[in-house]
Amino acid sequence: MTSPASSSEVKYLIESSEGNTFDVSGAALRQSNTFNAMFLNIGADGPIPFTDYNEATLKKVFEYCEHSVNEENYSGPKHQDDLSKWDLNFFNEMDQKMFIDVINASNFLDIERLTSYCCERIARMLRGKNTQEMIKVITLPTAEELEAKQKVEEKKAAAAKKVAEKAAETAEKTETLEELPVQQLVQTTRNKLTRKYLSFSNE
Amino acid sequence: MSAAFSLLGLPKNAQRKVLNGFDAVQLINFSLLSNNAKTLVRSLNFTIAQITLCADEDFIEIQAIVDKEQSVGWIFYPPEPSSRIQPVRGTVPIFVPNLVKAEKNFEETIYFKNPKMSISEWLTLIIEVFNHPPILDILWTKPDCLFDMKSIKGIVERFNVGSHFFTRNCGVECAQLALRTMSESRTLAIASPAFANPAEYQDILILNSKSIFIGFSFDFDLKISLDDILIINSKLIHIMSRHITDKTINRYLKHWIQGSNPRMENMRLEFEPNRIFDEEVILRGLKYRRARLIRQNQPKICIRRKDGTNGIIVLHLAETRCFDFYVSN
Repeated sequence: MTSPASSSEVKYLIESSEGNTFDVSGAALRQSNTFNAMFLNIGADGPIPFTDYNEATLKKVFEYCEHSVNEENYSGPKHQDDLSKWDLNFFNEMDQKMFIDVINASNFLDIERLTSYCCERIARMLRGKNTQEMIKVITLPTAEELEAKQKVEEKKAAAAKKVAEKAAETAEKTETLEELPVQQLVQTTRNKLTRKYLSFSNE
Repeated sequence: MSAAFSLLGLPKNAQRKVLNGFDAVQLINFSLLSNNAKTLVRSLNFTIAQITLCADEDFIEIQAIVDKEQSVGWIFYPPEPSSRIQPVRGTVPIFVPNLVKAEKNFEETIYFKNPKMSISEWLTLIIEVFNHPPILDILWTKPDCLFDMKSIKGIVERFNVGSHFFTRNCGVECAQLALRTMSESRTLAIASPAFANPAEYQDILILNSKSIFIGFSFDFDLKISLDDILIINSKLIHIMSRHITDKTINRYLKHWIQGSNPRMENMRLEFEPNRIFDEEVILRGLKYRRARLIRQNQPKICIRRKDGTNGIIVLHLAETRCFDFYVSN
């Protein structure tokens, strides 16, 4: 039923967590980097199992993909004002559970455009909010949840620190060897001042 | 969406994308939610380029430059005064703020009640959240500081002071008091018209800061003498003054050859665009040889001091007229 053909007419069968299957066009599916990495070049002999996600969520995700087939390559989140009416409707008609499920599925399928729009939407919901207002929108992670995450991050941070230290060593060396370090420093210092304080008011 | 949802419930990539969509003000507000929230933000390794503290007249401000496009500021307002008695300047302790105004690029603003954090705690939070080294700059803008200098020192004692900026209407006495109280800093940047006469603040010139910048505009009519330049004890010196003559430069070089300014590694004297150097006057009586800077293919003049140290002079005649002098051992 499926082949690695590039024609947008090719349909693929997707299997959801309920065991249901439904068609998705090749063009829509190719927006998923996960699909591209796993199936594009080898084809699939039967339904592609995305069984961690329910049918409604997957259909919603691929609805977005079908719609954005002809859009230019993703180049970063759009501003609220730049979203089309269709995009706004797409997001607005989802309830919170569906929205979170769509983010999870989109993230797994590695659909950069959809994941980024969803995340940008969350960030926008929290824009201009102080702490008391934020707490109405998001719940906080528990200590246990964070502990596990922290351990992984600490390892990465230690490695990054080593790289940064080495870079700093090189930078220091470069500074000493540069013919005119004062030029750079003047520019840096001037930049620091000009934005607000390099004006002589007559207060 | 109506009910609250867990940000940590999202995949890590999505969390990163959400927090990447936050500006620095949002990141700090989010970090204020809890230690866990702060840890989450910290784990994403956001950075800022610079933090500056400014203890102004009616408020205290922390500015953070995130990158070339984004700067943010937190402005802290004092509690309502209990009496209307005019405070004695220089004696007022730093207050625990009542109200905070957070602003991005000096425009978008949010007001909120301070969660009983001191200024020092705010600085610590910002430094932690943005994984910034414990270094901050201090900006001085008033003829005399309203606050008790020891109280300001108390705020920054957990950090290193990178630069003192004396700007706007900052007065010489204010700077002197600040530097007596907090003498250790890497850079001194003097950009206030009150500093036009360096003879009034030679005690500042002799401090052994790594860099000193005097004058940032020709509106600030800096009248610096040879003696003033000779007592500067910094490695990097930048002076912007229309009053330094070619003859003064010549005399400076002769002093340098004799051993003056032993710590100086690099000096730039910046002049107005219409300045014409008279090389003959600058080099009169000096032993020198001409060469070219390899990288910029620019003419340079090499001199040698008595102890064998080489000095290189480059006269910039393009957009900015500069006398550059650097020491190569």
